[in-house]
Amino acid sequence: MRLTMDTLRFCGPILFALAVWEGCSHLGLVSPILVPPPSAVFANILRLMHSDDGEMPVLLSHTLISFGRIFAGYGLAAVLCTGLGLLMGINRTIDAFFNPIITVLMPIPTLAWVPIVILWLGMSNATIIFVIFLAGMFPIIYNSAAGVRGISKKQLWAAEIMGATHHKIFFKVLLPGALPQIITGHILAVSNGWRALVGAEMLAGSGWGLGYMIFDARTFMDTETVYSGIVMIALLGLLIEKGLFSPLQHYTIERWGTVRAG
Amino acid sequence: MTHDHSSSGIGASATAKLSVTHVSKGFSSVNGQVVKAIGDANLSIAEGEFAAFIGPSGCGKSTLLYMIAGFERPTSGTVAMNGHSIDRPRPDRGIVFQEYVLFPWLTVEGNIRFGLDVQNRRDAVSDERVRHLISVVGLTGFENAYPHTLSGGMQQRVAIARALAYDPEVLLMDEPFGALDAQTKRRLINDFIRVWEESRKTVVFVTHSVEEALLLADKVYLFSARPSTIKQVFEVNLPRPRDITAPQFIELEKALLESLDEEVSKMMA
Repeated sequence: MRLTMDTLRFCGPILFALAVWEGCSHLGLVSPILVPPPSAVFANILRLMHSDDGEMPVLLSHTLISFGRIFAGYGLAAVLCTGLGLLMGINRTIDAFFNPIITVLMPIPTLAWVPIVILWLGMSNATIIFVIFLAGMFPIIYNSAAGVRGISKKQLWAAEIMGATHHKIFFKVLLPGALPQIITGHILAVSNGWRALVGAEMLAGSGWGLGYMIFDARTFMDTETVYSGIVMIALLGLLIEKGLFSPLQHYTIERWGTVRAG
Repeated sequence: MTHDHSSSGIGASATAKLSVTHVSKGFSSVNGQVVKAIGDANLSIAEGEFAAFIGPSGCGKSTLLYMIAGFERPTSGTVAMNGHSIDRPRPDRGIVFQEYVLFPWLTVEGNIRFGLDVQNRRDAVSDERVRHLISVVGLTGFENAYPHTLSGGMQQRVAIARALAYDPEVLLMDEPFGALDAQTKRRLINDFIRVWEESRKTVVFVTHSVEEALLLADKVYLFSARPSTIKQVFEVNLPRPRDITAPQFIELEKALLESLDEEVSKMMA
């Protein structure tokens, strides 16, 4: 019951916006070529999701390839950078070494790296995955380190006097204590990753991926497919948010009261 | 007695549970000057003694407590427990802070078990101990609650149980009732006296409240203004639970307040 109410509250405004858009299209207020009505976009999605010859539908292929790239790039950043961020939060020497490097690199837009990465790795999957990794790196490192630094000295003292070793303090105090900010870092990493993915696929797309599909459809003025790609990206973002981060937050930091429940 | 009360102590302090000898502590302030909080503190606390530290704000009473805990080191002098100099926090001591400082990601029981868990002590005896503590501090039925769902008074009950669960020799308390309203405080003090009387552990209790000190302590150590020394020690030879309206209580309260006020006005000057 609560779930249906929540779903309704979430979908209501979106459905309303789509209805207004649909209405504007039918009333001729916007060009059906530049802004095709949602109904046409969804019909196009269904068409692209259909395959007669038994092969994988083209939209599904693009989507799965993009999703796989996000998964690989973000996964790499999650594994490597969470640890580095936590270490920077714990150890002054490690922080003193990496902090200046990160401060210099962080403001550079991820897409500025794409031409260089193409030179290193070619027009390949590896290039796109690496660019997503770069996009996820900084928010994860920065937030994980800040999460550790935000833990109160007294909490560490309390753990220490009760006999917790460094190893136990890490797993039983630092990690759960830093979790709210670790999760924030990961959410930002995935959303930055999507942005980087679409850009990288347009520049280095090896013929596949939603970014490439959008770019390619644009050259043929196939705006319905452009919008279809955008809708798929939004749906995938929603899937990751609602399927991964929301439950994770619900069962950890919301239950602990270390963040307010949404 | 299974305690390892090493007899290789040094001089007179060998008989003391805790001894503070010529301790001073300086801090560098924001403008780079060194502020001496503690000038020359000397005291010795006996096994099983309930000691209260009282003094004007900024006199270093909490700092001395943190040195006994092993969180901070004296600038000079020694702080010793059982005749051995204290070098770091160890589980032969337990701490209760004013702000509870519970682990929000652990349930009430998880918090209370924390010390036993990190010391890998999970057996029937410790299980029984945890169960007993939960009941005497009045947390039965809240074992699986998370701290943020509890009131301040309940959270402090958890913190007290957490500090006692692994059976430390000395309990250190830094203004533990300072953040609570008067009613909650009164009830918690009464319950705490009952819990303490079961074990009669050595307690060091830092407070701003003369009444709290006299309700609880065997001896009240009055700190002077900065740079502080122990100005006076008040012995409270009254049976617990104490009656705040008893003539002896009021007399002691008056004497302690007077002496404390003198130091407070020195700090203001």
